[in-house]
Amino acid sequence: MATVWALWVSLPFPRLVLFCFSAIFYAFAGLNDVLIVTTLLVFNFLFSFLVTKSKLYLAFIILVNILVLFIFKYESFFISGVAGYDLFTADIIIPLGISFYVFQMTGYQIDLAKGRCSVQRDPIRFVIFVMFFPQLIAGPIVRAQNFMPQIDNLARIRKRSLKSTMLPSLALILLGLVKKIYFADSLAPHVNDIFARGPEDAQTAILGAWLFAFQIYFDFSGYSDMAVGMARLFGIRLPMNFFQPYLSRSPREFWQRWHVTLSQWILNYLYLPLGGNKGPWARAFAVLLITMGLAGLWHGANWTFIIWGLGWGLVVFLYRQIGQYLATIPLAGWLVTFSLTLGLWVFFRSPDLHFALSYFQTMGGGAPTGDWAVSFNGWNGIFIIMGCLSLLILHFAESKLFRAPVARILARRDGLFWQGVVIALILWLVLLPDLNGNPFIYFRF
Amino acid sequence: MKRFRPLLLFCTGLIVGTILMEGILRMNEVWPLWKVATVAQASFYGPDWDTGYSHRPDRDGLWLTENRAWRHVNKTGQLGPDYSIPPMPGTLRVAVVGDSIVESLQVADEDTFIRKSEHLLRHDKIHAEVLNFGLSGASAAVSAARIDHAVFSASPDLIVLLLKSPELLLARVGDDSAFPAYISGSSNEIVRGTEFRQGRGFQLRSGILGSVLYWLLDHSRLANILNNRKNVGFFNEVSNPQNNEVSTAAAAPQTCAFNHKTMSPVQQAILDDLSYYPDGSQPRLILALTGLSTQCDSLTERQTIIEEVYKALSKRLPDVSVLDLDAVLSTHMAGPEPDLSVLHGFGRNLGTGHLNKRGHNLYAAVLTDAIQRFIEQHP
Repeated sequence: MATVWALWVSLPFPRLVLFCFSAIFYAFAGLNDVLIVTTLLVFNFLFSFLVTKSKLYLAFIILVNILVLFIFKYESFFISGVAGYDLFTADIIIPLGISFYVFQMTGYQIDLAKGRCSVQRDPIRFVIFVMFFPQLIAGPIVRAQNFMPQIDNLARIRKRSLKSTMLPSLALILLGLVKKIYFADSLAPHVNDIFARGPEDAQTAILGAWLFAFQIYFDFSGYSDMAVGMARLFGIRLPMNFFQPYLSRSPREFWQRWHVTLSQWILNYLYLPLGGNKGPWARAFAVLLITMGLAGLWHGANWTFIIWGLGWGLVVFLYRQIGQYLATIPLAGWLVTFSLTLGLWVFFRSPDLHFALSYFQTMGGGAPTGDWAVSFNGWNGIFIIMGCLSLLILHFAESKLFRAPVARILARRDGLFWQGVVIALILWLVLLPDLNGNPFIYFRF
Repeated sequence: MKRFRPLLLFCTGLIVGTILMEGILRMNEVWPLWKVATVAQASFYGPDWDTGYSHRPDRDGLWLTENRAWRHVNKTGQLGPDYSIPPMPGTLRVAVVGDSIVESLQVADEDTFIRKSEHLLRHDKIHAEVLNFGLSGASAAVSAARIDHAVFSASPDLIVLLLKSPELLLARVGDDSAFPAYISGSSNEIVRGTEFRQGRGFQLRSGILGSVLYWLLDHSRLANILNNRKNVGFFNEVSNPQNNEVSTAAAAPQTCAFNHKTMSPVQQAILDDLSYYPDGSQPRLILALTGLSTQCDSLTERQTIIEEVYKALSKRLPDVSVLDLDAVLSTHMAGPEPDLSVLHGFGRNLGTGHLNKRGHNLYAAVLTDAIQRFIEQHP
């Protein structure tokens, strides 16, 4: 990373540096993955000149993109008709980052057809748009109208970035690493134990859902923070993907704080074109269900993801009807939203629907799902509850980090000493032993 | 000087960041934070003149692999509390020797079958002291070397040796470049080779540089992280024995034959080694063969093997007992075809790995039972 940055700073052709490094970075994924992305890049680049001429071309390239995604991601799901592939424990078998770059390219084609952006004629710039290494594998999914102008002006951006502060970018990378290595990877073994063996009692089941909620948040938002921080080092501004989602007071707000760039993609390219909230309630409900169901399916070939998405659709719809009443009771909106989020994460994390339903039964004090019980006796219980509450408090504290005073402090402290401190912490975090081998969760999607 | 100021500032920052990280890792070791937080795995192993590698005395630290546990290596280099030499009068001192199953780094000392069997014996009015002489990856030759030196020094009244059955049934000439192994001597006799002592790695680890680096490992969590991350070359004690164990198991063909009259020279050497201390005196020994159920198809075959090994050993040792550990464990478990794999592994890895708490409980019951029987038969 330091080498790339040094080359980017010193060489006269920054665009070529980013292009080469992004290509080299993805080459580690293997020949198959490279062939798939290259084919899609060529198709999308060529069709970008045609989509403005006829809707047929747009339909065709969208079909190609979706078809490739379906073939390489959902093949087993549609051929066998059953979805039982546990994404959380099995090896990563889908081409790296396919869900993200397919969505990004598809969004670009639609924006082109709608005249929201202009066509990119330079293939190198187009490749950087799709394969920019910090965000290639798991987002944020960027829109052409925001990202392309930055690629077009890389030389000017480089000059500007060298004059601007480095410490906020490094601090963002550090924050991402702390979230991933310090928190997500520490929670992962406990979550994996509970979901692999099955909870024996209600408190273990609730603990599993709670810990997974924070594990996936730390894991995914950690990656996004690092991506944004790394891009910022190169002077490129990527959108933030997470805004402390567990502080949401309604399901709608949750989706404005969780995986924001995917939510916006779905809103702009799926929900609104399907009709959005217009028309009779049954139609609006159906549109919501279809949209959220597809958002669930995007995560992987398993019924658990579809039910998770449909569940969110139902929750968002119902909340529209009763939300106004809950808003009058202090904290009720937050409590209901947080509880529903935890419940829906159970579907998301479960290996199959049967397990998820059994898990809910255990959560409610019913029959055990498996034989894994975490002892809540004595101090153990007190520490577990304190630990769980600490995660929530940290979540709240994190919201205070992204404020102007913090940015001012970082800008004021920007200098070689503090840069050295942060770089040392980053290096040590990278070197921390990974005894469990936990790749980023969203690499699996 | 002004020219170097930026570099100086940056390097100071790096040092402060490093100290900060060291502090964070140490802070994470506070109970109960260490059970979940990011911590460094302690380095317990070091070079040993007799066995190639062993636990470094008087070390404390966290073990993370498979399951987290806080462990202590006593002043004489065994896992567990210190003990007096010679034993207190009226105390039955039992030394349990074996590989990582005996070592039991994955659970706290009070949860190991060693400590549990000590409690069970005391509960039955036998004032016993059970010592843990387990060492990860210990082969028959390493265990024999350990008995000759570390165990002998502890003056136990009884030795319990857990030995993988292929070690005795196959008993092949080995490679002594990393740790002791049975090799062909100059006049073709089988001897316990110690070629590892001439190895560059061993000499480096035993020298001044080794002392400095082990000092670093003992005083810096970050040094442990680097060591665990880049565990090749210099500090490879941890990885080597385990790798060796895996490769031996993978390479070992199934064999279910042993005849006390037609023993191979290596088999004879192993049994000879187990029968005498360096001063010529003889230990009282319980030999527990493990994994015999994977070597032999029927219980009858296994019983024949045990009888044959007993015949071979009893010719050499007056006070000896031989156990088929799998068979004894099975009799302690409920059901017609008990599944021994449930005794191994933690959490989602149930069925593979080292003994879990259930495994330790059962092993403790079996060990206690075996010791009590032995005392009755050999008063």
